[in-house]
Amino acid sequence: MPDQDDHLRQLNAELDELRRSLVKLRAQLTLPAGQARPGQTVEAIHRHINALKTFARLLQSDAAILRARLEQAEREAWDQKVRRADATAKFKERERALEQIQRSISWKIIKPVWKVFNRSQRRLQETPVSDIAFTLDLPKRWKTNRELLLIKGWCFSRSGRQIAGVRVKVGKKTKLARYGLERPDVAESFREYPEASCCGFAVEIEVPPGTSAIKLETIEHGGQWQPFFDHNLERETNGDFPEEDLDFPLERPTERILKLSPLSANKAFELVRPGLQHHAARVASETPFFSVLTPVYNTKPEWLAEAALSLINQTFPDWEWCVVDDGSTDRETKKLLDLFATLSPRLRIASSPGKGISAATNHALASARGDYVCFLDHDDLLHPVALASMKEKLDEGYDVAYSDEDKLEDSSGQLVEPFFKPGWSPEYFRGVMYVGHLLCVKRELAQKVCFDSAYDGIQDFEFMLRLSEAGPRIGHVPEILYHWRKTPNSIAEKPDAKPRIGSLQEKAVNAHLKRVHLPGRAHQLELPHRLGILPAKRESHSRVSVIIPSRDAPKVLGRCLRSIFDKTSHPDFEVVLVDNDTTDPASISLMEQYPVRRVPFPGKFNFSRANNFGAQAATGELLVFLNNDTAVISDDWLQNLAYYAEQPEVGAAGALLIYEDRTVQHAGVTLGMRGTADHVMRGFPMTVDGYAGNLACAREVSVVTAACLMTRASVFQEIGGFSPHYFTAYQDVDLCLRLRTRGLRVICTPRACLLHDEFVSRPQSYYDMVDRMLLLDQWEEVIEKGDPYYNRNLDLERGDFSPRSRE
Amino acid sequence: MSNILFVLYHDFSANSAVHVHNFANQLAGMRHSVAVAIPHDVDHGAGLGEQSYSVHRFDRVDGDWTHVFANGQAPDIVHAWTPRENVRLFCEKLAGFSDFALFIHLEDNEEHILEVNVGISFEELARSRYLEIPGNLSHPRHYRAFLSSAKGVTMIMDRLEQFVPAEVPTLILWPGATHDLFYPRPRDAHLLEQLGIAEGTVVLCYTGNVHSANGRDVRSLYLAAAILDREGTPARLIRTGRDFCSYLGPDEEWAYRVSIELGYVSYQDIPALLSLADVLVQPGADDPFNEFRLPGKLPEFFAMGRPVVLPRTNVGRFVRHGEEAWVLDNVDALGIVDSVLQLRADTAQSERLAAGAGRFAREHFDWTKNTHALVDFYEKNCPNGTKPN
Repeated sequence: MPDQDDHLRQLNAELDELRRSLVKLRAQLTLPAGQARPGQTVEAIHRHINALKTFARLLQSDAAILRARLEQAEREAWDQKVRRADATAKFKERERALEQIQRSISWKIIKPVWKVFNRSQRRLQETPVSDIAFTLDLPKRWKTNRELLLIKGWCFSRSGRQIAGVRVKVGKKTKLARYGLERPDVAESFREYPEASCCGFAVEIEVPPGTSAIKLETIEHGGQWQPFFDHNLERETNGDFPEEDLDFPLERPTERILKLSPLSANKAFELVRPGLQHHAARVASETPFFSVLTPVYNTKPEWLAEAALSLINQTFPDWEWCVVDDGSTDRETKKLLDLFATLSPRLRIASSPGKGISAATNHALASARGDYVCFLDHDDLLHPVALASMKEKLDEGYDVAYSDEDKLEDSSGQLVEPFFKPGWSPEYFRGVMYVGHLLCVKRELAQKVCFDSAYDGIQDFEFMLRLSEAGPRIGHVPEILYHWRKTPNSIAEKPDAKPRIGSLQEKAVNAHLKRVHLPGRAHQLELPHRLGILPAKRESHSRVSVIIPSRDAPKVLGRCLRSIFDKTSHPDFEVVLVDNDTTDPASISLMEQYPVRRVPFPGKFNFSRANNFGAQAATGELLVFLNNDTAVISDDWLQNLAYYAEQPEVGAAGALLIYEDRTVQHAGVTLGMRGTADHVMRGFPMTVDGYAGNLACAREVSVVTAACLMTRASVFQEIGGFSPHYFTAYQDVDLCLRLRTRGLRVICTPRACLLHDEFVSRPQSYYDMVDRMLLLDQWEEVIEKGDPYYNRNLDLERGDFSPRSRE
Repeated sequence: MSNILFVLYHDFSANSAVHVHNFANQLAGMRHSVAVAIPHDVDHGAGLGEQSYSVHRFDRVDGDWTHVFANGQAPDIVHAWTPRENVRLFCEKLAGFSDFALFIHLEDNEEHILEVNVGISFEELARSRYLEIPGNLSHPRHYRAFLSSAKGVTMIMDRLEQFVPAEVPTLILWPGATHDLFYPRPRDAHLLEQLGIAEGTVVLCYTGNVHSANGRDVRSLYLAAAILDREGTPARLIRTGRDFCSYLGPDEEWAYRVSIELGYVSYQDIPALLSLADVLVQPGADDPFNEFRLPGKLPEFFAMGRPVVLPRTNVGRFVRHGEEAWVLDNVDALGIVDSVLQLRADTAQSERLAAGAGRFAREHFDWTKNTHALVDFYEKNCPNGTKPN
């Protein structure tokens, strides 16, 4: 027993240590009174007494452990014994069977006879053995509502043969009992049988609901298992949850994309008829939860059948399908819709001949009865959990919800180009038509807003713009619930397939900006379907204070100040230079050369305090916190930042910052990267679209860097400025998260562009761990929930919006 | 004499065993015959001190009570210490061979713990047909039925009542503090010197192991010391115990600069260390975990008669802010820093809190008083089961 040896060695060592302590204690006690500090001896005695007590307790504990181990060893010996007997019995049984086979002359002929014979032999053996004396103490009743059955009793052989073990059989389950337990009561009653003294057994076994046959068997050394007792046991179920409720799937069902070959209307109908009828029989509610709206125009029967199957396969069944024919001329399409018309009350077919997709959708919308409507194009498919996932989201209190989507390659049936969207981002939506499918909207709201035929082609985008103006709660489900079919000449196949789209989009956003009184003008960018917002020209401008903490560093400071004063076109701004003990004459000369307000900030540098100090000295309604290693590139940078920062529901605006090589240094900060937060899209060329326009268009982000951050002075004051507890890093993350906690949005715009030589003023090797830990202490739960603007299906390590690998 | 059997879901190395140990000893002192059943026997509890009760492994309890209770009779009362699945199954087994009054103790939000451990919402778990729940967690369906079958439910925190069926009587049962070990005393200047703590340094203490459940809380203490120190108020965190998880970031140097790591220190030596602290801090906030529990160290903190800082949850809802403790919405690093600075600047307030803490401990964290309440509860709900000789 090496474990126990080690343990004893350890105990000895502890004893030695204790002895040494006692020697010291004695020595202290014999010290002349003057040598010991008052109270020291008594204190030492107390300490040693406590040590002795602890040691005694440890010894007690160790003794208990050793006792338990001994017991366990004994138990294991018994178990070994019974297992050996069990193995021997099995071996003998096989030997016997083999012997019988070997003895037979024509095994194949007599095999059936042998089987019958063998079974009857077994049955003969299974009759209770008469020389076994036994009694069961438990169970007392053979009816139970419990899962675990404890069987307890005693048994021994009157013939004097030693029993090695007992086992219980319930159905196919077998369990060995603990045998050999002391039974003085039995020994007393059967004095003539010495085996009776240790003949107790106990075993626990799980029993299934219903009736089970319980069998007890015993085995002797060198013998075979012999039954000595059997009885039926009734187990009732508790019934705390109805059985039919216990079917909640723990895993998302796997989806099979069914690619149908061309079908006639009749064949398509036959294919979907049973499913639609079954669905009609399955739903009981008078009005559905969802009305799925589908305008149809000359749709191929197989596509409509595929769409229907994707609906039939929904795990959430409480839907109706409102199909409106927009004046189809194709005979098969019309025929299929006619066949559908009488199939199910949950399948409602109507027609709105030739007035366009908006009119057809409005027709469907008007007839919808569901609490929510959702939009399924005639050639697209839903994931089986689409409606279930949407319902889950809407149940959280949302009026509108949209999901992620991908594309269905019509030729191959493959799902491609997944699009993982951000949480609701109104500014991003003005530049990029990102919401798309699947979209679910509260019916009353949708019926109030309706579709506008003037925007056919982008009618769903324009609908969503007006929908958002009503101030609904809009939620996002970060799951691909919709498959958008790529067909020739569709936007899904070729983004520039419909050239009119860009101008319609521009028109829709300009109308929207006007309605919501935002002083901006949308214009098409060079990239397809991307809009930029230009601040409107205005008579008066808010005063901007640009706050720059700095010490020495004449080269970067000179470039920064030169770029500000040479390029900035904003008519009313000041530069507040927070001077942290500059001694370099060239830097001092720069501060005199440019019209800056120099505010001395002596002592140990703290980035948060320095900026707060500058903000106190600033006179502008808008504050820009700017690093001294930046340089202005776009002359209207302040107007573009101000356009956002002045919006009451925006807390902060940040810029696109680039390296000297014109690649991205900052285009927003994402929570969760490297455990805290970091810049996304770093290293991308500044002129590209990025991921779905995230470099081309302004968008909501969780955080923007304080290397260039604009906010309203009033808001900055209200939230108490930057937290001074952050010395060098993460004060911007903390600030933006506090702004967001107040319901304010943070926007990053590429229309304000600056150069940023990261780490010029701060060495790359320096990392303030206390700042990092403080950020986690304050915001870890928020960070762990995930960044609402960085879809959880995207790779967080890379931070470049590439899909996360699924391992 | 009543036979009382406590049933633990883990051996004596779990925190809740300390409570059972003390209640069992107190009940034994009131001439009840007490036993404790544990699922396995790695730790029999000998390290906790004198045991006036016997300890038995689940599989050894088989209806033969001669080794369990002095009178060889079955238990009158079985007190299941949590409704965890292994405890429930054991009680099911007991019910198969004896009649007894079942009481169940709740000390956590079982549903939250289950969700966190399994990673699936409670509702989904409750509706799942094929479910294997580890024995040390509560079964999402059976645990409620188990609670319904009890004569009474004792709860460590009032808010746990929402999990108890309306018809089942309840008792709020708080633990006690070992008052002959944890009592107010002056700071030991010699010990401060031994630990190398300079005069005027703010001292914070954390005495215990760190594992994933409390890593963030302990990190707040290290961080508070680090922030105080770098912002000009020298501070040290005295730390005992061992770490069973990584919680101080990729480079722990920042934390060790302000901590004094003592490793294992015997239970008897802890009070002397706690007495060095300027304030005794229970980090955390009002969340679904803290709301329903009673942090194990709080009784000792109060008994030490030092100012206690704690969040406005669990015990924080029962103390008077500014009188018996310093209560914050969120006891994070910055909350600790602010409290320390505020209380250092206001010695009168600090002294008031120290005195109030001691009073609160004597009133609420008294094993004898609380055991009497337990016995009254047994008697009221099981009149024949609690008659000592």
